Amino acid sequence: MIGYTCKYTPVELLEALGGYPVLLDREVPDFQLAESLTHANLCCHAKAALEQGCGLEELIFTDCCDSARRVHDVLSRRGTHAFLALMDLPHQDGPCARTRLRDELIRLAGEYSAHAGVSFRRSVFLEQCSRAQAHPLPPGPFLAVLGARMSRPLLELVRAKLPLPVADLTCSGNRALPPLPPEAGRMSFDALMDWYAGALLSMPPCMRMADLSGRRALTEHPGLKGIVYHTVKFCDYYGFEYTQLQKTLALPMIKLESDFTPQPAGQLATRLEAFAESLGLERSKPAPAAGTRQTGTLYAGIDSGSTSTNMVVLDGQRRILASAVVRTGAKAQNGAQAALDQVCRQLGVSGPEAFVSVLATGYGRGNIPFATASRTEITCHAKGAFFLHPQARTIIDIGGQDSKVICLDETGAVTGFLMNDKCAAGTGRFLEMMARTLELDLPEMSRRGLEWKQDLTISSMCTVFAESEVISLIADNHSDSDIIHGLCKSIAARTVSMVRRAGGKPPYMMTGGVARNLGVVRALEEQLDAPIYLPEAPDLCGALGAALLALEESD
Amino acid sequence: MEKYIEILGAMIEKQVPKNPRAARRLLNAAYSWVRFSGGRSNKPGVVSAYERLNGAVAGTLVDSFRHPDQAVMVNIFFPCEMIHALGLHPMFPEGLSAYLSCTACQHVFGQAAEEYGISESFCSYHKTMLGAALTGVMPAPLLIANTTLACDANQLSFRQLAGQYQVPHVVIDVPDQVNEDAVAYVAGQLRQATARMEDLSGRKLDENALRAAVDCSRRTIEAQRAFLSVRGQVSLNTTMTGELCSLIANHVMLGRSEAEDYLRRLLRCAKAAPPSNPKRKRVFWLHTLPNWQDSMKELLERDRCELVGTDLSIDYLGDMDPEHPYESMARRVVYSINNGPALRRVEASLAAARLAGAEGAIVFCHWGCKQTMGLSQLAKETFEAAGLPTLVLDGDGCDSRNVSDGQMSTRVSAFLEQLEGDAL
Repeated sequence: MIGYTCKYTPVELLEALGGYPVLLDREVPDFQLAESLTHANLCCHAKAALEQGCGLEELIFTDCCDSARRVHDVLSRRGTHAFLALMDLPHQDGPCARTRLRDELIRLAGEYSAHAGVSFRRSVFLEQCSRAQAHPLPPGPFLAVLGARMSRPLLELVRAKLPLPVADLTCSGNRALPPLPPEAGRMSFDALMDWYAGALLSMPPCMRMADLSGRRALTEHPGLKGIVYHTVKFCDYYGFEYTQLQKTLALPMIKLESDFTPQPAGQLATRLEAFAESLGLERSKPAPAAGTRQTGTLYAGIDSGSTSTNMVVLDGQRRILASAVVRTGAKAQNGAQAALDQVCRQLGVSGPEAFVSVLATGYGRGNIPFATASRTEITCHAKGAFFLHPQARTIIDIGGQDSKVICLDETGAVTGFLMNDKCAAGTGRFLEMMARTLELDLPEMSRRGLEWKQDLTISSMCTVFAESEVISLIADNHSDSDIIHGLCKSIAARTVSMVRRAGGKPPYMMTGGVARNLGVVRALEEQLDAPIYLPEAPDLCGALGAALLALEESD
Repeated sequence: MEKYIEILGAMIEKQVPKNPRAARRLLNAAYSWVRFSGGRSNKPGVVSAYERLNGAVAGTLVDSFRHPDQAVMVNIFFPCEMIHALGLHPMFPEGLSAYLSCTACQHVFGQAAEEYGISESFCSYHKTMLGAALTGVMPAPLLIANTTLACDANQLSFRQLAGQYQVPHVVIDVPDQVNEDAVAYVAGQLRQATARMEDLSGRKLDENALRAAVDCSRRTIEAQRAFLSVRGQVSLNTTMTGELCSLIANHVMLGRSEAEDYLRRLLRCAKAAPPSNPKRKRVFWLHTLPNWQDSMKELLERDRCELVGTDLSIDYLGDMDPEHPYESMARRVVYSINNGPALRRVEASLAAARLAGAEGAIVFCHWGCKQTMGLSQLAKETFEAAGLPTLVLDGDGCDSRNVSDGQMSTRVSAFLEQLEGDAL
């Protein structure tokens, strides 16, 4: 079994020499070994490949990126593999580059043959090349994963969550060879390798190649209805293409970034379901549980977030009759029950039987037993925000563990959205950590942040670095107020960057718990050079949107 | 950092979003002053050599800003002798990024690139230069030409810049294998690139001028070898900026008289310098240097430490043959220690560190540089096995937003204490 990572790997040649090539596309629990041999900020796929590759006796890398080269280098130094090779892949695809690749294939064939003790089997090679010709896209409409390679579990999740067949067009997925020449059976080995080099270089190029014109075919297929664009943490290549496509492509597109470790299922599900919602092609939802609904006159929305669980109850005329904000605690289910108990007390009703429907949103939406339907918080925030302030075109939502920018059109439909990744910088959690460092509670922090005198800048982007910067400022006797102002500007800078990347336009509206921190709001207004509309209860916006959707869907 | 530089930086940052041309004028004025004052520097020791080369580099930035239609934008590893021979200006935005960080105005450019969608984890030299282009501060050149050596960022940034400016783009594909076939492959591409420069500029290359430029490179590298043979026995008041000067002299400026003059001055200084000072720990540095960072200057440029060299400035010390200019330039790229397996770079750095009399080494993992991060542990193991204590230091050569200044200071201080302890 010989592990490989790149679609340019000559897998047909290796098979003809007795090899059994296996794509290294698994997730790993951690990068303990990889980081001890390299560095924490190396491409996460390369680190995962190193972790997986150490369990194999044979490995082949291509010279496809800095990280892959370095993983090969450190494994080569360890010297624990029976066969370890690096294929020198040209960046160009012209005649000189083809000749160079031909010579490289001949060299590799010699080395692997000597290692495996198997001579080149022409019939196997021709058969494998014939098989590699067929790369049919799904018949009819389909979605595609584009960008950097995706782990197999993540690809399976994407396929499970999206309503159309999903083609893998990532840098390790869209692999297909042109037809063999008619005289292939009679060609000399060198001539066959010359054809093979040309065939490998004729595949749709990955982003490290010099001429990218062949990539247009990936996005111009008439059956393609939307793109999941995947990037890998600390891989530089594909963010550039995503940015370009974002500005030029008419198809719906969502960006996912992963790091080849098991991903947080809640956030992923939110993004994928929101994407499906935006396509108007949602998977069918389970019907409300029979016998427990359709009896009352009320409609409820419940937003189960990482920090708080919020609930709003409407009547048929969209009037808010009750609301609750409670701590989520360790279990989403318990927080939801507490919120339900609170609104039931306000309404004087005994339980969920009073509601026609309860629509759940937020990370915990899948774990609320009394909910009759669920929607992502993107759709719910957009719905609630548009209800409260129909002029808003960009919603900035900063909650406990994530921040989002949602763009709306004049009908309130979502035209695009961005969410932060795993990093806590720029979220409510960041403010909580900094408040703890300053020994303040959040309301006090908000109040003091407005009393600043000296305009300090906290330049570190990382939460951990920022904390040490804050500690240095405390040691330098700067006032709490000035430090908090610096922190607010730091969150604002990060958020404004997201607004710009999402293509957000004024008028702006802010929701989520961080909207209660006026220091952050003022810093955002200054950097956006525009006012921000704040609803009376910014943390209830998602639950309100959920309740509105519950009402609409019951109608 | 001097207060007046901070004020200038703030003025430039203020102008960038509203009036990028005004920001460019301010930068031009500042760098024209650096050129003027640098060209007249007669300070003692290595300072004069540094200031003169710094002035010359600032001059290339000014010329390329003033005459962008006669400028070829290149990466630091692109061999520039044909550009010098054609009378064109090399514009190297990685150098510009370093200058912007020392002018205290880099944040506005990094932020502009991130707002456009460039990843936060991307190399900050490249992110800053992309920001300088996106904001309109860096003008469109005649042509963009880059090598695939030494990192992926070249492929991405220069292609992005070519698309944004809508100018022709040439990529020199440098094979990973270090041999004469690769030299021939690269030499062919350099010939084509030169023809493209001739076409676009309307200038005809004088082959004698190219041979003269390559001969100048040959003499410069000879002077550098002579300097390195003396360097290990003497003490010099080196600075991080000075080490960056050596890097630029040995790359983009190679083939110009200013680079030759720089190395000859360094050689004269070394010959006249006092012997190695046991009180200052001699440290060899791998990769680029954070010369914007006051805390690092305090530790690395005063009485506890002496920087004795960097791997980037010694990446090719072989001969240059003026009769075969393209092959000579190609050989410099292919045989650079940054090409091929990491162990080539590590072993060459170890040899250079020993020659320079280093007592310790710092591997600087510049933000976003996968090449250096990836070999950092390999370098540490190899150096320490050879008896040279080594610190792997995370930081950023040009963007303070990615740096924990306190942590860096602690690590470098502790490393110097370790070296001082070893000497007891």
